[in-house]
Amino acid sequence: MKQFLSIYLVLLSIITWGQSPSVQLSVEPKSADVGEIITITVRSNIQGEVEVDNLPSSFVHGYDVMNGMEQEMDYNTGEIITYYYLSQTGAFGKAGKYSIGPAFVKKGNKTYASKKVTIHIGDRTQMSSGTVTSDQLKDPAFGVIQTSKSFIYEGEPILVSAKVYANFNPSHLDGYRAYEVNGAIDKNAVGNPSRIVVEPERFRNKQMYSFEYDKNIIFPTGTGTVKITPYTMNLYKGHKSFTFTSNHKTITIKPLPANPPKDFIGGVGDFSVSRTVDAKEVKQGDVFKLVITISGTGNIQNIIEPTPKLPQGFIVYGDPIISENFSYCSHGAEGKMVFEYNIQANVAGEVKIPATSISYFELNTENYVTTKTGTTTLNIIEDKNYNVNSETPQSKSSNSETNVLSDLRPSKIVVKNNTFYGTGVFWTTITSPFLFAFLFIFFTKRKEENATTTQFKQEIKKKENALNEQLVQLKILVNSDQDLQFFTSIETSLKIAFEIDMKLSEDRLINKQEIYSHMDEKYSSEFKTQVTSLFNECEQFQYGFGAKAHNKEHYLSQLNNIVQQLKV
Amino acid sequence: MSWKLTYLLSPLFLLVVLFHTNAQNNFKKGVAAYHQKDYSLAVSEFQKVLTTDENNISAWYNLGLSNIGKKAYGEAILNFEKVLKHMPNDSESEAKIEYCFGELHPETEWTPLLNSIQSSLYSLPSNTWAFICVALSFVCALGIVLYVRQKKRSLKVAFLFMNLFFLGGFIASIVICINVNNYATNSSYAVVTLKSIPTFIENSPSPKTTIAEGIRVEVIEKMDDDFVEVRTLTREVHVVRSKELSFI
Repeated sequence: MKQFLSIYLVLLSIITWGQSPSVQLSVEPKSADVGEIITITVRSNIQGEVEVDNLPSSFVHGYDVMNGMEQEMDYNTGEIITYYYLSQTGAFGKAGKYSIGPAFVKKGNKTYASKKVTIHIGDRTQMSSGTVTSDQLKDPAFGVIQTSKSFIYEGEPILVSAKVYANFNPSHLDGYRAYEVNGAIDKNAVGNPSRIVVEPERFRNKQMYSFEYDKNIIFPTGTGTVKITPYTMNLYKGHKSFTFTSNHKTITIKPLPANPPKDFIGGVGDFSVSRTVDAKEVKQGDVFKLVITISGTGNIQNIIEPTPKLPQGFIVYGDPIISENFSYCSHGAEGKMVFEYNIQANVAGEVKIPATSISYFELNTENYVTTKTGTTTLNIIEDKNYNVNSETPQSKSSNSETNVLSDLRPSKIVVKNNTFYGTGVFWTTITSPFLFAFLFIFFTKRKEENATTTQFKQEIKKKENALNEQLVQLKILVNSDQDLQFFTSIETSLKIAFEIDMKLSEDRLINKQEIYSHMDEKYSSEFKTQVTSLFNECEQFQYGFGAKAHNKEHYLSQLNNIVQQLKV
Repeated sequence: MSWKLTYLLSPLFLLVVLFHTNAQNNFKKGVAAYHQKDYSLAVSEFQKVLTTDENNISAWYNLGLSNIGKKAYGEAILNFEKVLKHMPNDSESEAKIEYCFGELHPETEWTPLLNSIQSSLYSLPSNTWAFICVALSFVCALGIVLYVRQKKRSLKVAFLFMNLFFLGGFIASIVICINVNNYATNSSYAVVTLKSIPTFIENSPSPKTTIAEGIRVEVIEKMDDDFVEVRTLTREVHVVRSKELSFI
């Protein structure tokens, strides 16, 4: 037991003393614009004097310096490790690629160093905002949505931020409801979101305080017009707060040009490609690694894997292993994507691997750009025991050509020239059915109309005959004592005469009201009085106020007079 | 009189038969040469067939294959484009052009002139579309008569919709007929069959750039007898010598 305990203690002390000192230098973000706040952090498990070497002259130190300690558990050993850190903020005043570090931690006589860190500083991104209304200007504070561009291409990143203007120097804010880009799911914060820098700014001849907030690089999807919805926030000056909603903004997403190259990887931005193999000499049948690295700025996180062109006899095993190393900056995603392919070489000899090409859409030229790697020569040592399953390049190539050439068309296929379309016969044939249809409709309509007219005429003629018969009958009745029949005939004759005048072909007697209305329209009041009086006389006689026999001729002459005036 | 006509026409008839037999022989010779992998001879024999019978699609197709054998991919593309001009839905020819284009320009994708709907519609010759137009004109005329003569309201409405349908079909078939005929007769597209051809800035004899073999161009305007203005797949406009282009 004693022996076991002593061994355990020795091992523990070795682990504790054997812990290697570590100094880590990190810069966040790794890519920023001129004037954008960055944070340099030195983290070490050794407590000592910290110094960062190689800080460029264009780096302006900020006021925020933080130091402290934190403890972490090493899950492999179960040991608690104490880390000491020092953070310093600042900004670069000039665009470029800077190498920072190494950082040194001095403890006693010993100095421990970190690795160097490279940072890309780009030119300040020009932002444009939507229109500010006069009502907004009257408010104590208002907000606009700023974007780096108004028109972007499909896949192109866009920088969006909330810009706030206030008449007062704001102390803090809360209740922030962020803007949203319709249809965009890829939204990444840029810069230091927890840090707000309020600066005095002259806006439309008015001295105001402004700050940028919630700066994101967004990768919208789809094409067309996209709306960025407004944001809302409560802005405080001490205890007083002012709530406002910003205006919205629209951006237009243009589709990429048609017919992209075959090797288009879906990249929009600026990219380069490089390629390495892990061995220049391999044994036939062995698997080697081909690593394609695509680096650049744009939508690198969304690119699709490139397809390496391989000579015949080379087989790619499985999908490539993809490793991502990029960060989001104001120009999109910047970094690299590494695609590692496992390839088996089945042929022997010196084989040249063709260049790997990629195409992407370059925003400066607004065109597809193709870039490629160089070729790689591999020496594959022949293994006589290796059983080659695949075909040799020559046999495969000749086979592919044979496949293309195998299907000759032995029988004759002749296409006849157009002989009908466009000829006079064609146009006549397609127009004549319509012509015949219209002629047919015209003639049948006319025939129908003629038949109706004939029928009408016959009806009128019939009525004229009936009127004549009535008049003859009346002449007979004048001298008879059948007074009732006489006056009934007078009334009937009058009605028939008006039916003819009114061109009523229907087989019915019209009523007096219809006759009076007809007379109102067509005849004089004198004539109307004459007709009305005759109708009244007939009515009086029929209902008991009989006329004298000597009056009959007078009534008949009155009727004849009316019939004549009606020109029946 | 009839004897005289027979005497006059018989040499003409013999000439036609002779040409036809010769074309058949050349076709057979071309096939034989092709099978013996003598692609140059096959090309020459199929070309002879086409001088007498330009509409022989098999000869165009076989000529294309022979040119692939000769690795003259630009010429082969032209030959298969000729096949597609007469038979737009010939997928084998499309596959062959893709192969040839891939050999010449591995980084670029070849796209056919017509989309799938167009190639299906254009696969019927303009004569067939013309007969469809005629048939639809009769149907439409009958429909108009029935509509006008019909007294019953419900049937009148039914006839109205039927008429609108057939009238739409009639107009569409005329439009397709016109387009099919234009597609078959117009030589508004050409293929570069030489290794590359120089392009010129207007009114300047010095070459500007080149268009590579196998590229199909659209003829925008014939500038004069020698030069034409063309547009490439990438929408670039160039001025080239018309004699350096092979029109489809």
